[in-house]
Amino acid sequence: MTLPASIIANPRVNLNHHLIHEGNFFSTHTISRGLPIANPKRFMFVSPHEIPPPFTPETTKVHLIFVISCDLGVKIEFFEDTIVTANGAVVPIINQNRLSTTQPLGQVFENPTVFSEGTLIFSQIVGSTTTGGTGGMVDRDEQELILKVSTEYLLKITPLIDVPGGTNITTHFKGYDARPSSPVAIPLPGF
Amino acid sequence: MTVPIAITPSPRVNLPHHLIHEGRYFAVTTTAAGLPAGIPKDYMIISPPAFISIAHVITIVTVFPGAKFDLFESTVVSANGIPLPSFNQDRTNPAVARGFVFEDPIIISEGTNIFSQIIGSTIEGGTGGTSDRDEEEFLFKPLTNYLARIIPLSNNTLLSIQMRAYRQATEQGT
Repeated sequence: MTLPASIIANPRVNLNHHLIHEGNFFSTHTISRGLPIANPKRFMFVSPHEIPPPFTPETTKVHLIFVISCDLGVKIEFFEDTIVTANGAVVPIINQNRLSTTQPLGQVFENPTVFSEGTLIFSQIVGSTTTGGTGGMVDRDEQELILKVSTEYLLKITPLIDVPGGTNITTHFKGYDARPSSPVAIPLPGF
Repeated sequence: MTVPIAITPSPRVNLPHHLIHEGRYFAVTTTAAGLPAGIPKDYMIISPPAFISIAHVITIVTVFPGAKFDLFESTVVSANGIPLPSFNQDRTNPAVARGFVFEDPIIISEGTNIFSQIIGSTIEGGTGGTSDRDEEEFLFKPLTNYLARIIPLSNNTLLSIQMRAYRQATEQGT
């Protein structure tokens, strides 16, 4: 498309999209099959424990959402200050900018051994005993959480019903931080 | 189309997202299961006093099967009910919410109905409430009781409710 000369292109980009471009946006994608009520799916998100220079506590805060899709209903619970006796299996975290070498500061684990769940800060029922759906923090503008540093968070997903074959879920974590990775220093308002 | 090289990125954030970053966005989320048909499930919000802040509130209600959702203003109660914790979306920010949310208050007078909606049907669920920030946000009167009432259309109803608010500070408030 060619614009008339009198129209000046002024492309805009939302902050989260901008941070994909900057190489500071990360995600995980996990499929879990055949879940029974008695064995909820658990993920642990560990926010950054170390702040390597020249970063600051402010620029290493993780801005997180998670999205869960299920073929039958589940209850979602998100806890803060979880205590575990074992981390579980590491879930790989993907930089959405595949050209970037920036590494995520947080870590995600699957099936941790939980000693204490901690404080419940978000709960939601998605779907029903006969239908699935999508839930979690699907709307970043309204639901994003800025996580405390050096803190363990627990995502617990419990099926609403036992059926042959169990409940199937897909879990996505999506997070960015404000590290100054851009070659051009762009001030980011608000954090 | 090729963007001229002189154009530099100018990332933007919507106001609610900005207020998450500012530490002035709070949420209460809760669930209920096995709700019987026709029996109201009530939540009450007490807005903060005007000298502190004005609350900008949306309420997101998800039910299965369907329910009637009403929002009332200037509700009169004889007991507040069970307090529900609210959380700052910026978990690193020590600011606390200035309003309060309660479950199962004892209602004397519902007050003025300011929003009404049927979500889903007797066999199907859905999501509703004042969920669209751009079109359905309410600025709550200061120090006023608001009642969010959900009346299931069928037995054994599942409910999720999210009450989400940011505040604009007044001169004395934060």
